[in-house]
Amino acid sequence: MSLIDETLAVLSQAITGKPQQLRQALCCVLAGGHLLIEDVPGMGKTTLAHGLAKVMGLNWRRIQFTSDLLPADILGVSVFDRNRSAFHFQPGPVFTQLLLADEINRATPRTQSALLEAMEEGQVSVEGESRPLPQPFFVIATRNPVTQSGTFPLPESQLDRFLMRVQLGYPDPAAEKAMLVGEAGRVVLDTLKQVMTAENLQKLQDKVQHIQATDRLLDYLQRLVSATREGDRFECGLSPRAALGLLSASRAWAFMAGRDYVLPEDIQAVFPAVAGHRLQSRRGGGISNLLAEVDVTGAE
Amino acid sequence: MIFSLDHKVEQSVPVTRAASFSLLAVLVLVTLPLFHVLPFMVLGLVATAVIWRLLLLRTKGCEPGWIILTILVVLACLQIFNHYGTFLGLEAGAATLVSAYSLKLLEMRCRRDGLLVAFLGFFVVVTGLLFSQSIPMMLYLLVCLMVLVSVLVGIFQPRDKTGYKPVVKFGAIMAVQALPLTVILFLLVPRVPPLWVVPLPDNSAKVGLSDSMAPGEFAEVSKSSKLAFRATFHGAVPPPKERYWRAVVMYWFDGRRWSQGNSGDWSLVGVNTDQFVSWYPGNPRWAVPGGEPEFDYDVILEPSGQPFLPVLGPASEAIAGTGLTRDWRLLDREKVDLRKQYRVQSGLDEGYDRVLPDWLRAASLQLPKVGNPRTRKLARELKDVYRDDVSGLVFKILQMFQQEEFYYTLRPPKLDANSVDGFLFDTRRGFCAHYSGALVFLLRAAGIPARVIGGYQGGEVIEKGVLQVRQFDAHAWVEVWQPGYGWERVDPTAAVAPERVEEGLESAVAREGSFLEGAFLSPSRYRGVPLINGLRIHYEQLEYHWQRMVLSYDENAQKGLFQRWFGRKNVIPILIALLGASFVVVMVVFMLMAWKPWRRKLPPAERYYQRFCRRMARKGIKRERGEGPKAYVRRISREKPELSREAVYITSLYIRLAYGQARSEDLNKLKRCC
Repeated sequence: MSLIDETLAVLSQAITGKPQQLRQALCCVLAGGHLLIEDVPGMGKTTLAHGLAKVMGLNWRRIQFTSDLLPADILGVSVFDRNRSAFHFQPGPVFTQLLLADEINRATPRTQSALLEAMEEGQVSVEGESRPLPQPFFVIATRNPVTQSGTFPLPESQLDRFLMRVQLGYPDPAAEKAMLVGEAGRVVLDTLKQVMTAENLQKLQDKVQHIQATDRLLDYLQRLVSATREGDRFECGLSPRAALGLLSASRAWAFMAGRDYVLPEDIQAVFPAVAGHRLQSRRGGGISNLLAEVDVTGAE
Repeated sequence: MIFSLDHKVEQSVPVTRAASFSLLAVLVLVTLPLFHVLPFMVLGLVATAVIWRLLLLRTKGCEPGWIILTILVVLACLQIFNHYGTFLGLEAGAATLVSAYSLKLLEMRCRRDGLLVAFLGFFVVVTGLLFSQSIPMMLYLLVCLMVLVSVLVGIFQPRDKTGYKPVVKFGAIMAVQALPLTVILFLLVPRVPPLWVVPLPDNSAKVGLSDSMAPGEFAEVSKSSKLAFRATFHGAVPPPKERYWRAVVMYWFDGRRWSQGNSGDWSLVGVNTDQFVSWYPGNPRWAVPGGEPEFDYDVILEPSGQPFLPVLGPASEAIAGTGLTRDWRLLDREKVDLRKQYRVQSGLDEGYDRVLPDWLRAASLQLPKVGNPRTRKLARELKDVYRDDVSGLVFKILQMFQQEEFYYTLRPPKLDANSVDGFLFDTRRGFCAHYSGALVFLLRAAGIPARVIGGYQGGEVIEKGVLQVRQFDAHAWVEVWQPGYGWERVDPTAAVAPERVEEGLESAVAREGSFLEGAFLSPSRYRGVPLINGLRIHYEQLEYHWQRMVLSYDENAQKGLFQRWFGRKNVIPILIALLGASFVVVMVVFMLMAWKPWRRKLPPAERYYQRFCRRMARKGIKRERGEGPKAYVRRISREKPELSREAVYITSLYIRLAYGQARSEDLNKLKRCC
């Protein structure tokens, strides 16, 4: 059993009946991107985040975002050390390998933005000093749909920094019943086996970056991305960062399928998760229509 | 696209509603300009076809059976034959075509019928051009053509796609693409004289000069604002009072009517009518005066139904295709039934016929034996006073016209049998025909040779060097022969109404208000309104250029143009070479458009895979645009398991070649499979 399959098998003990979402989440981690899990409360977002952290064997912290959370609560503060008569930096919860930002959109945009630099640069600047974050560093954020009360919309710049967005959705009846019969996910969490280590994960991430993507494949990817920018289908098209992310995610997807090259189908598989939170469709079905319309082979 | 059709398919596919409707619209559009040409019954047939078809479109009533159709065909044929006495000829042909179109439309069931009707429609549209070639007509028929092209496109539109916009757009693109080809063919295809005689429209109803003149008739001509001809001068346009365009010379007077005379008249003075026309290139048998002609110009003459070619002043030599008459006019060999272009140098002031032959003198002195006694008496009195002083006598008569109560009018009173007496002594109201007729009568009665000249006087300069003459510029004046001098032009109208000669008919009858009476819609009537007049002049300039550059582009124009461009006498080889060259260019452009070599060339693996996809599509599984190779092969395996093995093999090769690590032999393998 390969490491990937094992990881997925272990994870599915905690989150039952959601193999596709688990694959996406793992794909995002392998691609080295940050993950956004979005759904209404009680769907197992936090459980998934916990599970991931646990299985990967990463040290992790969790911040419960609230409306009065301040940037310093995330990044850390300098406190005066009376003994040494000097300021001493007290690192915040962001200094960890896996940061679980729970209900990220309950905090104010200002606090949300405090995560920006950490997520993009892998470092934190406090009081003019850049402090590197440990490697690997991920943010797994959960978010409630914006329509729920007490939420602030995430700024687009922040949304763009999440590689993928996973929506869990209601479990199917069989999975739900199994859950009701068995133990609650949270309890199972504690018993989850650690499958990977941080070094392990970094090696896998390294391999993912070396998955082959041929010219023809990049052409297709590029056609897809520019198609989001043309016409009036979307409010605004995908950014180059999104294009890079799409490629990484496709590589990770191909890797998880045991291939050493990327196929157009890999791009199509990750495209909704990568593009979904970055594109605002003006009409319904924007993304699935786009995938159906952009020619894969580019013969015409 | 049309000629490689499967006949079974064509006969089973019905015509779409949109196509039927457009074909109906074409029928109505095309019939409208032919309205005045077609007999009533044919119009009835058109209406029947349209109404019946519309009812069918609303799924009411049933299609006409063969009995009804046969009856209609027989009726239409009988009616056309009854009306024209033939199926050939312009009007009869047009009526036959329109009837055929209507009947076929009525019968139309399958797509093949629709195609036939559309093709017939192209012929019917062109029919309209035989009756009018003006710019608005051209544009109108272009619209009809566009509709027809769109119908052709629409007939082949898949049935699940509706909406006229893509059809019209495609039709328009096709039309625009055809445009350069049209221009090339128009310019280059060698113009040859027609192989058969085209029957011409019936000109009996034409307004214009005729070869005879009764006083009342001229006023009729003056009520028409139709174009008579346009002249383009190489040099300055002569001033209004010099613009006397000679067309007819009338010698014979029967007491009421002046005419140029038939052979019977001329045999009275002992000459044959052939004798006083000298056809090009022969030299006239009479003395031609020397000297340089004053004017040099091109004329585009509208169809007149008469052989006269108006010429400014006397002409001294014939041009190709024409004859010079003894009285220095130009005649065409045939009646002018199509627009005719000619270039002349003419207009010598003096020296014509210093010596008058006896027969011509006799003709120029001819008068009926009896009638108009008062005029004859006046002539005798004048002759007694002036003796041989011709100028004095003419001057005296003109003075009489000027000083006594003579009026210039477009509404002359009716005259009895002694028309000249009645005019000179009683009514004293008349038009140019009255004055010139009376003057010639007086002069002849006094023994002075004189003749009536019919033609045009004046015209309007619409552009530098371009003079436009309309029917209401028709005019009659007099030529008097003086011993030792020859013929001299005398215009009695100038004595009565000098403004007629200086400024034209409109100002001459301004007070009377009779200018273009009844022609309310004629733009010429509103010359006083600056806006309308400006628009009219612009439009006339446009039409002049259209006529000069497009409609007059005949054999000679083509020859002239290419001789000027290439400096060679024989232009046919040039034309053929150019045609060949343009054919090659068009083919190259066409091929470039079809193959698009500027497109990035597909890698070979992609080409083979496309071939595979096309093969699968023929077997009923078409690859969707957004379908990756793996998803496609999965679908093939699911839907057509018998193809699965091959498809999986080819796809795996292709995937390795396009996306993965290809092995060296993969491409050859793929090539062999596809």
